[in-house]
Amino acid sequence: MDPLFYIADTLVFAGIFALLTLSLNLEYGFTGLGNFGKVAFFMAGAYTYAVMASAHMPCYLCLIGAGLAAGLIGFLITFPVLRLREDYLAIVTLSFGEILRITIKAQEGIAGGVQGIVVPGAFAPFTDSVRLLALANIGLVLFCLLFTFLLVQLLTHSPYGRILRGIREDETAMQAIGKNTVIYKAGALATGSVIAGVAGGLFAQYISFIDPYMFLPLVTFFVWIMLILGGPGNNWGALLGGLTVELINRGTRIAKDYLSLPVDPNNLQFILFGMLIILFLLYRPQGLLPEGPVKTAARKEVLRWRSSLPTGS
Amino acid sequence: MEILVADRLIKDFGGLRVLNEASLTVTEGTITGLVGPNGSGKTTFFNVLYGLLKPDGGSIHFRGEPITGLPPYRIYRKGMALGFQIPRLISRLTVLDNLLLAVRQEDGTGLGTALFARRHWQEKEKGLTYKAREILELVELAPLALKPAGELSGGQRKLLEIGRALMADPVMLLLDEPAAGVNPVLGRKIYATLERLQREKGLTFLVIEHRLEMLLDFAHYVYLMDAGRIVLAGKPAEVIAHPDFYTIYAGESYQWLS
Amino acid sequence: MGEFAQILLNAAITGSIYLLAGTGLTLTYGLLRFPNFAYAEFITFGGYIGYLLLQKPDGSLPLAVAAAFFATGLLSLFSHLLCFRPLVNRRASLIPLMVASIGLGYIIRYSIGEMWSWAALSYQPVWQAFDLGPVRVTALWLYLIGAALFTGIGLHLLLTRTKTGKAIRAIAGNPDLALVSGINRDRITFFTCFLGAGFAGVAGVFRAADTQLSPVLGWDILLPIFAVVILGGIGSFYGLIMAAFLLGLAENFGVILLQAVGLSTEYRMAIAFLVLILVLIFRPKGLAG
Repeated sequence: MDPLFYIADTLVFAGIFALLTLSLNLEYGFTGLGNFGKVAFFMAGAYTYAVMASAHMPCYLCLIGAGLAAGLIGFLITFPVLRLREDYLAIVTLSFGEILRITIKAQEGIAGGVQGIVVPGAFAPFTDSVRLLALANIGLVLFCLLFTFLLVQLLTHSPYGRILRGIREDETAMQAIGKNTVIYKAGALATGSVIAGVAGGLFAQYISFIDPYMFLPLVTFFVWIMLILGGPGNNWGALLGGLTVELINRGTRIAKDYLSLPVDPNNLQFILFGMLIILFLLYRPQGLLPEGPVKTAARKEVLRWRSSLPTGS
Repeated sequence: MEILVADRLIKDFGGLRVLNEASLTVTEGTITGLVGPNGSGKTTFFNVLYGLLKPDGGSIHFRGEPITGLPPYRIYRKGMALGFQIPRLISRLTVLDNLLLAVRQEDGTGLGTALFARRHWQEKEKGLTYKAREILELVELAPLALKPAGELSGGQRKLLEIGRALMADPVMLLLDEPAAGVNPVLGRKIYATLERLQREKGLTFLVIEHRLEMLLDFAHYVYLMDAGRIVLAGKPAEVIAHPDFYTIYAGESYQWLS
Repeated sequence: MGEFAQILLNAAITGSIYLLAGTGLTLTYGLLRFPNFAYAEFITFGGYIGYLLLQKPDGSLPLAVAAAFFATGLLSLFSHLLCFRPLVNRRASLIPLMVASIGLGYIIRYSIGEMWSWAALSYQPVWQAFDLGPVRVTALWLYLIGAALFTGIGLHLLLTRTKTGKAIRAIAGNPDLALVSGINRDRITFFTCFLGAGFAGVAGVFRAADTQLSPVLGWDILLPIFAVVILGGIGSFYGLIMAAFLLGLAENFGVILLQAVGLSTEYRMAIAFLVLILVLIFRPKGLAG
């Protein structure tokens, strides 16, 4: 295979997973919500994109549709349990991931059922060059990633983000100081789901064919490793985690061709990932890049007047 | 003028009646004390008043409006604030952030405004830091403004929580043992601060307090609670001098525990 | 009439699996206060331990059940000592514990995949089928229902008659109170981890004997098991018994209903999900709450 193409492929996938990690970071890293069904919202986005693109809608519209559909589903599924303890949300999202896949698999009428569905490529009509296509795909994914990164970065360094972090640590305390925490949690989950949906749309567009077997719980697990490794509560950490894990993942696939190990590298990889996640939770729960302070104008202002105080700390 | 009226509140936990038709009235601009033996239901009373627990009976009015069963965040928006017995701060956020979180109608707290009214809320935040500074100077935490709240000492946490409650300009504060876990000198200082706020700004306080000397020196009115109901009420000196006070407070009331 | 009895029997079979599989989950959930997703893999692991003894036609089921019980119990004990206890000691909160349990699940699942391959396996003994009144049963089903009954009665006696059992209920009910009253929390937790996972391993043997054995055996029934645990009320064994058989009924009648309206029986799983959502909306504390 053309090594250039391989690099492009890696970049696209790293970008898509970085998007998913940013979305989980908003939900878990900042708000403390355990979404264990990330793959469901990714899948909802991918299928929405596929159906809309099959109806010859333009790429940007399909992506918006993918995000909105996933966001709406995310809101509807999680809203009933947001008043309950956090483990219920985890169980419901995890279960929903399974249900959505089973439903699409069982329903021939929806988007091809178990056979899968072909997704028209967004750039195919414009060029035949494989290299140009790869470049266009990288451009699209990186553009979406940059846009999302700026969005979550602005959001998490604002009064809104400050409230999300407060909810993560003590929901009752936040209610006692006037915050309708359910609305904030719903907002974070809906926004996170929109991002996951867009990632799903990009995925469908890029690989041009999707079937239910691509949306296994494994995807959710990958996203969690990326976030725990990178640093929950730090958007740069989410990017770093996404890239690192994707590179490790690629590395094992290459290693499979060049190394002869007594064990299947694929099995070994997941065993190691499982250990890695536990070791990080035990010895470096803050991840590679720990969370920083909320950066707003107020912080700058206080830094200014604090320096004039007699007893700085 | 009465600011808070609780009428025959009932709260059951399982089979146990923790609040048994407890009623009290707080007059605006006073410091009112709530005292009673351990397990008499004081903290539950606070939780019900503040909407953290739903009452099984009775009614609560705040500034003439019914607030029975409202969630805490709506009660807060009406001008009441609560200080927990063990301070509930956001320990990974800075002292400053903890104060800013408590602002009642801060701009940029919505998804949309956070993103699209950025310049507007940045300006507002700058202004709020001056208010935060005033409060921090009042509770003597100003040099620690950018420290994570989790690194504060017990007494400092207590002070910060009171400061946080003040950030929203409440008209009334419910404080659960504001001087608990604090050395006596600092404890008196906290109460002196409360008294100053009451005198200068006309704030109303309802405090749970065990230390009789604090009640005698600072409270205008005292309620004694026992086994889920209010059993005595009056001026601090009267209540403490009442013959029933010692029978209830100094041991007899522990009978139900065994 | 015969059809109806057959559905009831099927419900009892489904319910028995859920009861065996859910027992450990609900007890440890009540004790440690987090849902251990690795239970899916405990079930699977039990199934593979059973395979060691049942890969020949003359394998003994009781022996396989006993081996699965002990091996899975030990696996759970090790994972508690190496993973969950250190995390709890480091004050890890609920979600990191759940994430760790998923990580642990992957370690176990892919280790199984490595050792026994990912292809589906079958137990070799053939279970004799016979008519019992209007219904057709196999010996396996009778063993399964017997095992569930044995577990139900045995655990009832344990929880009500023994000091350990009472301690389990006390900790699940109020951990702080239990601490004061001088219960050795660690010992009780170890015991529950072992016992609960042991039952999950047994569930794996029966599930594998009834269907097929694969590394995702447990994962495939994790959703209904969670539905049962939550319907029964987290930590409540008696709620679990009721919930297991209620969901068994709902699923088996639901499948008939699905066929009647021309929908795929793959939606069977959706019934559990529906139950889960309805419980969370209307009665989040479950039957016991």
